[in-house]
Amino acid sequence: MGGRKRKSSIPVLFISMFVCVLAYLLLGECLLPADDWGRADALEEYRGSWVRVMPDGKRVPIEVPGRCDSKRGETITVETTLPETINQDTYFCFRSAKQDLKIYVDTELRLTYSTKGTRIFGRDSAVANVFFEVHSADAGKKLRIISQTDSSYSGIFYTVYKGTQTEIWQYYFKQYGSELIVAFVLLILSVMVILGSITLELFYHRHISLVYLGWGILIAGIWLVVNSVFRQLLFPNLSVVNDLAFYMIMLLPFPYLLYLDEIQQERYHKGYSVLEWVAVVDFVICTALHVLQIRDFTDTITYMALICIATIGFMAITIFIDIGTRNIRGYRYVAVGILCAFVAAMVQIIAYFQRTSLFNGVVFAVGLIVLLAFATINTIREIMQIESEKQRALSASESKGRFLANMSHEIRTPINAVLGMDEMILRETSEPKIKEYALDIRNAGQNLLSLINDILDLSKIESGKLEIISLEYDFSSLLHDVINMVSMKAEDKDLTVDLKVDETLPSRLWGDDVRIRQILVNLMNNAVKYTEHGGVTLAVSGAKRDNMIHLCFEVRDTGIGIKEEDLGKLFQEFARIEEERNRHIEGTGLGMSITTRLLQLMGSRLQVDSVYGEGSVFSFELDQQIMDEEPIGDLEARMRDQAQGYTYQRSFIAPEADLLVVDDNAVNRKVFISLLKDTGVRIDEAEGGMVCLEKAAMKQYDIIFLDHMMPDLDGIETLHRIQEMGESPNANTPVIALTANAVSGAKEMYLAEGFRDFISKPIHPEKLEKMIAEYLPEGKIADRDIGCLTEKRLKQGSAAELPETFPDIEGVDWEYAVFRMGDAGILHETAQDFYEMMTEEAETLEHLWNNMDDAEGLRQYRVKVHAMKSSAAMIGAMSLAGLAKTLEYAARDAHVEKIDHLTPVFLAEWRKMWEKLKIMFPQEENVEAKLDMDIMQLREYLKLLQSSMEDMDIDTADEIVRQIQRYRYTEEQEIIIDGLAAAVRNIDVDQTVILIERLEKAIEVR
Amino acid sequence: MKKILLVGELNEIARSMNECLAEEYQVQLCSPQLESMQGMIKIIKPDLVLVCQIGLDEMDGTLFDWLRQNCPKLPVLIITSSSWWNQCKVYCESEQFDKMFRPIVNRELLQRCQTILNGKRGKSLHSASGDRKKILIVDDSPLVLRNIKGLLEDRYDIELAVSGEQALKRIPAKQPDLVLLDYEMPGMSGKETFEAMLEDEYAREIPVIFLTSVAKRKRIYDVLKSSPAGYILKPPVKETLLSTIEKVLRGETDSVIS
Repeated sequence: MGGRKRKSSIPVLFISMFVCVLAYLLLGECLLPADDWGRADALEEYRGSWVRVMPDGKRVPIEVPGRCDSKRGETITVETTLPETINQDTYFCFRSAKQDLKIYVDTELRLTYSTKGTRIFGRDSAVANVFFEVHSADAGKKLRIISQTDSSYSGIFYTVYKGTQTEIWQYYFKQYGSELIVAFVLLILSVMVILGSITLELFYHRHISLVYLGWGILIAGIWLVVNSVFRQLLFPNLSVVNDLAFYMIMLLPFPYLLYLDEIQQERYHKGYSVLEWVAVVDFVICTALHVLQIRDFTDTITYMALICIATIGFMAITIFIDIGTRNIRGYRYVAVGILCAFVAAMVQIIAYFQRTSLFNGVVFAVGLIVLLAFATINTIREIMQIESEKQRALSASESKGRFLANMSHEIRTPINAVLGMDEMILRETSEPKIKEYALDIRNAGQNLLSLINDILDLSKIESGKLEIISLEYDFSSLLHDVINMVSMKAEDKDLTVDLKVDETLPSRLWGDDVRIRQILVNLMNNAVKYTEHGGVTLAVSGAKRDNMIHLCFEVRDTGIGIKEEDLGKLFQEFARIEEERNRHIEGTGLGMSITTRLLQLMGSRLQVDSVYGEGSVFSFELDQQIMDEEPIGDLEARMRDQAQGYTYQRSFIAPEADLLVVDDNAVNRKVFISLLKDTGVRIDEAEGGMVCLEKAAMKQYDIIFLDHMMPDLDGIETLHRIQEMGESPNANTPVIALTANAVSGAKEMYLAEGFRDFISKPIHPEKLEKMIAEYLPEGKIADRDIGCLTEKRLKQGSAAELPETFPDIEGVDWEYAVFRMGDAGILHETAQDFYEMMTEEAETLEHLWNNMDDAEGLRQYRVKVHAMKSSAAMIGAMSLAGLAKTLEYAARDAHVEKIDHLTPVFLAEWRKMWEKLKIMFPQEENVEAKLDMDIMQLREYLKLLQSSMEDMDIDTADEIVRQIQRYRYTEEQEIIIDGLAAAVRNIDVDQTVILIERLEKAIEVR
Repeated sequence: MKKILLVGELNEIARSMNECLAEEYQVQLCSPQLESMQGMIKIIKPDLVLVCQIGLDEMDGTLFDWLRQNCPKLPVLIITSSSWWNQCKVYCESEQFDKMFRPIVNRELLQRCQTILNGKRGKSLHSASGDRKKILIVDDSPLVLRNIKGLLEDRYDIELAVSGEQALKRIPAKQPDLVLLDYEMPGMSGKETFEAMLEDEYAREIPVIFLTSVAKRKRIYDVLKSSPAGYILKPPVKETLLSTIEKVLRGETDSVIS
């Protein structure tokens, strides 16, 4: 509360100074004598004697101020003799007690006071201080006042004052000034309270009771002002002001009744209601009486007062009851204030009825101010409570968020450990039982994982922290992943999983594929969970709109369905439908919640249609931006292409088919033939264009596969010659181009030349088969059974046959390697990289072994053999890796004899492996003729090579090396270039730079 | 910066063209042999091929033929004489080819190149490289580097480093979004590299996934102790690698790493 906490002495000093000055003021004004600045003399009462002139002329002395017997409406005449000397500027001040006054000096009518012409209601004139001037000429004359009123004030005479107007008003100010000031203070305070309460109501959207009290104080303030002697200075028409006083009294009870009723939580609401309605009735009746001039306010004020007293009394009673029942605690401050106000009010009412003394409302006003103060304190307390509750709620929510964030970190570490260890068990064990257990642990662990992720996701969504992050993604991969993830569970339950996708949908889209995947997997998993027979279908269709696609996803199942009345429960967190029946189905019930919220975030909505007992359809629509319009085509087939670690299933047999394969490379032909081994097709080979023409002239083939790049007669030439051959049996045979590098536009080019189709090398067995199946005449194909692939089969490792590009090599477990790496293409490349590096690796190790004299030498040996172990493991050469591991440990433990013993063994095995791998990577003699060296070009290449190696751009560097190797070199240069190729393979920047320098010198000499 | 391949004799004219264009573009010279041009195009993948026929009277259409067949989308600007053009324009009859006749004002040449290159809207198979995330792979084994690069380069831009020191130098230069860091490296180890990254104001914001080939409990705990964004056992499984990377790039280090 407040600013800095620095302890300064200034505030204390300031307050002390202020108190001293205040004390000085009070004491000074009270004790020191008054000063004379030419103040007007103190006002005197008029001391003359008064007589009443009776109707019969008798003169009876009376007391003024005082009261004489009279009836209502009776005219009363009083008389006095003016003094002998009258000064300039002398006035008499008579207070009219609701009386019409006529003032005579001797027989001259000097002044008439009456509001008859100026009032609309009421029968009597308003109370006013009438000023009447007397002149020196009036000395000694008789002053006569005729007073008449129809009210109970008849015959009342107040003190008469004589003096200048200034003296008189000064006197009044001294007497009643404080009351006026207090009245204004009340008005200001009440307006402030009312405005403040309205503001608070708007801010907190809560009703603030204090506003009633504001109104109450306002009314009291107005009442004080309109009763004050100064009213005739403030208001022109006195009748209205006079009436207003009574209206205020009638209105006064309402705000207080309303306020207290609310403060007391409406415990005594019935009593308050009664009083309120009585006050309303009283208002109506008194006003009516007054307006109709049946009974003046002055007469009915008794009832008004009674109601006020009743109000006060009832409120007092309720307060006392609350004290007794301890309910007072809720508003004890206010109660104290009310008590003060009560006291003040009672005092005021009594004084009011003593008509002789003038009204002084200061006491009541002070009482009200006290009440207001307490009430405001109470309201402020309430507001502070609201604030602190809000704070508590906020901090509770914040700490929940922090708790979750912390917990997730805490949970992460042990779960990582569990899954990590489990992974190691799976790798190291060969016992099937243990593998089974480990797989179970993995399942459970992954379930736990997804559970925690669900919880975290949900809390993130709730706290608004989850974002939809869009990027470009492959649409068919998304669908493929979803299907894969669900297929396993579906197969366990013997359910079918179908994918019905519109083939024209674009292949690459812009969006948050992770979340879409999450949603689809969730819906599909649910579908599987709640389906016992039949199957689950994912249907996707879409409509293009400019560069956006409006997708419609549907998940249909033939499951148990959902009852209509249960549909609402579907979206509740943690709620499960038909708990009894579905008790055995696992899950947290969070999935739907997350799904619907994710869809909300993406601007979509989940729709459910279900027939209980028959099945359900969950659907939603989504707009995604198109990044590549190319249609995804036949997804099922493509799914097989992109499968991770593929399983090769025979798709057809065609023992009657004749194929011709033309390729100058024997190994390529061999690979081609073995790829099609299972299909039973008959295959003829040709090493070149000429041989091909010979064979093509003799026999009719169903398909000819023609390599493009061949020496002497290339593929295109050969094709043309076949087509030009007169009555060749192969005039209409489809010829398919085999090409190593498919550049963009290649297909069009081949088709233009006359090829029917083309297939790129290395050949995908699937593609090859598909192509053959496409171009073979129907009659020659049998047993078309395109197997579908599932991750499950892969996991079981059931006789999965790898394509023949991975020949069977003893000591290398391709399946394991492909399974881990997840990509057969990459594995092939990696195996090739490995193969190319093997020789130098062995040489390096040998060198290190021979120079292993000290600890440092031993360390370098160990690092090297460790690296060799890793790379061997990467391609599945497990026994080699195991041997390397032994050597690594020996180096770690400094078992030099062991190292000396085993290293040659290891190196021998290593080199043997290299030999075995040779068949995978036949040395392709450069098909193209070597080019004449172009020094300028070579220099450019070397410059580029250096800069790309320094930038670690190995793709460019690899390409440059390839280009450089197209040229002819001297032996000396050739050695350097081989070294350069090795350095680039090894990503050895320093070595590359050195060799480039050497090469540049070598070509210059030429 | 866009790349221009300048094919032609290295004479004065070619040199002055090179100088003029080098202000705005990356210019690579290439001798006017088909094989050289093939090689260069493969290596640097230019956005425009500028053929300076000046001084090459015996130039025939083979170059253009090859360009037309193999790179139909690559614009070619030929600087030549009108007589040569009349002879050989039959080879250059496609939208791909444009010509300018001698004498050449270098400024006009620059303008023409700008028009061609700005007008060309390359159909990119991948979204602008600004949208692809960049991953720096740090490992002392070139086999591993090539292997992981092969697994990831379809989805991400890849940078390589063979040592911790090199990695620290490349991080500010290449600004990767993620670093795959080999734990066991000779010289500056993965742990030391990571700690050095944490000291650097810029590098410490980059998430790091450790690669470790030692599948031993103590090692895993040690790896995790430095609080990296994640870890992966070598040799990596493609699926695990991809999903871990994806999760980390989304900033979901709160979710558990699978």
